Amino acid sequence: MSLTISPTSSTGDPDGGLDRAVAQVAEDCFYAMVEPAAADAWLEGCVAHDDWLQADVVFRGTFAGVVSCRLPRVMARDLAAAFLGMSEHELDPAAATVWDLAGELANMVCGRWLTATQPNGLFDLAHPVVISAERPDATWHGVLVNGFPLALRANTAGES
Amino acid sequence: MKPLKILIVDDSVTMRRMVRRVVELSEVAIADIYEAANGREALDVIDAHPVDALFTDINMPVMGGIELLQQLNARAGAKPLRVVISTDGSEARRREADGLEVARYLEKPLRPEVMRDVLNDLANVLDR
Repeated sequence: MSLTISPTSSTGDPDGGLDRAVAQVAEDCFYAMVEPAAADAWLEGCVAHDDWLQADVVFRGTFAGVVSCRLPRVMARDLAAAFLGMSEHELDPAAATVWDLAGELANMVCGRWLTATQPNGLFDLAHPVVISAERPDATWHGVLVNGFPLALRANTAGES
Repeated sequence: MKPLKILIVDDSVTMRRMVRRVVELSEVAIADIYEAANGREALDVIDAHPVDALFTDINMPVMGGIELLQQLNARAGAKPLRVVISTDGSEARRREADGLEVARYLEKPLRPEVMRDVLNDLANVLDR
């Protein structure tokens, strides 16, 4: 069984579900503040960062798809430091822990979003896949987390 | 109170470090903390080092948390207290875990104070 991801089935965030999921994760896990951002201002904020990570979490169950988070590596570093009770200066942005944190962030956002979207659904989440990525463009939904731009996307698809 | 032996099961090394840190910062006496990246590794750890309590994720490669709990339940003899820590907060998954003698079901993201309270509760149960 393969999973076909269709970019045309991407959801911006029409009901605010992704925003709420990010806010819960950021506040509960990292004591971070999440703010909405106007698209133009958010894209301008992205320009300040050249080094990005993208974490994808594929899920199957009541429905299937993938949740993606794209964030500046330094933001992932700062969140990882907060998560582990460290100073950001103690953590190398290239460290494996930073990559892992990006994946865990996407994992938690995906889980929260699915639980809120389908409280009676049952889903299996694959291990997050983290890659280096380019600066996000206007096709992504954006929020600010502690002033850093975070790009979000939820693609739902049929199974084949 | 007897110091506890804890096993942390999660495919995220960062999550395991966070849980370990919270365990170490709690005021519960801890003898040893073991880690495993999936259910299969967790069973190997338990075979080598009997533990008092385990904290497990659900969605993991190789062997997930539900299968780990099922295999533990199928074993004879004393079993560790089991706590699920998962991104999956659905009612269906909680019902599934209820049937597997899970002491607590915690949803990620997890506040450190919640972990501390759960550890204290487990320590009190084991001390009886």
